[in-house]
Amino acid sequence: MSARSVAGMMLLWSLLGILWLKASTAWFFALF
Amino acid sequence: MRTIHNGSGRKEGSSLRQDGRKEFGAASRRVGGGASMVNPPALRWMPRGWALKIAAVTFVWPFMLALLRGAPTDALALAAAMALLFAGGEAVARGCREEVEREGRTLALSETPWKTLAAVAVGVAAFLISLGAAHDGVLMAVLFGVLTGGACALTYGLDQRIDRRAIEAAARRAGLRGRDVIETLEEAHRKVRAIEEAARGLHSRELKARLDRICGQARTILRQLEANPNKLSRARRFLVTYLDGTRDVVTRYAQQQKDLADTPLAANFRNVLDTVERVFAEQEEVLRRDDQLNLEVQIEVLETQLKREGVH
Repeated sequence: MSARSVAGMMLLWSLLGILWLKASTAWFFALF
Repeated sequence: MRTIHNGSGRKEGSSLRQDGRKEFGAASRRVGGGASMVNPPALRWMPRGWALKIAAVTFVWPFMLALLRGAPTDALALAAAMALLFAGGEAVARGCREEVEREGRTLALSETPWKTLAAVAVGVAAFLISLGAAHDGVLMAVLFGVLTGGACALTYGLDQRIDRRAIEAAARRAGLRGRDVIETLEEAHRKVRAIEEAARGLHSRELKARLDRICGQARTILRQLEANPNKLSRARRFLVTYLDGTRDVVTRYAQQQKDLADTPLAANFRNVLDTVERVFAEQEEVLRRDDQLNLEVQIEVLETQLKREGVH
C-alpha cells in the first residue's frame, strides 16, 4: 500500500466517521 | 502500407455436432503440446473496496435510529447512502481486479471506468448523509461529498486511460497503420470479453475454470501483439477463426446447457475447449519464441478438427 493510499484511507475513514457521528446524534441535537 | 483485416465476413453461425470425437485424439497428438501447454499461474489480486462495504454496514445504526424516531427523510437518505457505499465498494473491487488481470495493458481495460464511478458513488453517499441525515446545509453537504469522493479517488486511484499513441508508434515501426492495429486488437478484446460473459452463465465450475484459463491465454497473446504489432499477420487465424469460434460455441452451449448436460454434445464441447487451449498455447509459443515454427500446418489440422467438432 502506497503512502497515498494510506492517506486517502485515513481521510476517507475520518470523513465517514464524522458523518456517522452526525447521523447517529442528529436526533439529540434536534431536541434543542 | 499493409492493412489488417479482422475477418468480420466469416461465417458467424456455429453448432455442436455429435460426430468426430475419435478424430480429436489424432489431431491432438499431431499438434503436440508438452511444455507449451503449461498455463501461466493465475494472477492474484488483493480484494479492495472492503472498507467501503464495512462503512456501508456501520450506517445501519443511524438508519435504525431514524426509523425509531420516525424520520422518513433521514431513513431514506441513509438507505440510499448505504446502497451507494456498497456499490462503490463493489465497483472498486471490480476496477482493481480488472487492472490486475489485464496487467496494465490499456487496450484490455474495460470500457467502464469502475474506480471513477466508485468515487462518484461514495461522494454522492456522503452528500446524502450530510444533507438528509445530519441536516447540514447544501454547501456543507457538497463539501462532504467532494472531500469523500476525493478521498476515495486518493485511496484507490482512478482508472487508467488508453495510451493509443504508444500502440500507434509500435504499429508505425512495424509498417502498419496504427488505427488498424488498435481496431483489430480492440475487436479481439471484445471477443474475449464476450467469451467471459458467456462463461459466467455456465453452471459447471470446471468449465468456468477452463474458460477462465482460455481467456487468460487469449489475453497473453493479445498483449504480445500489442507490444509487437508486426506479428499480427502470424496471429490472423487466432484473431479471426478461434476467438469467433470459441465465443460462438460457448454462447450456444451456455444457452442450451440444461438440455446438453450428460450428452455426447457436452463431451464434444469439452473436446472443443481442449483443442482451443492447445491452439492458444501453440500460438502463444510461436509469438514468444519469435520463430517460424510451422504453426500453419498445425492450424490446418486443428481447423479441420474444429469443423468436425462443430465450431464452424
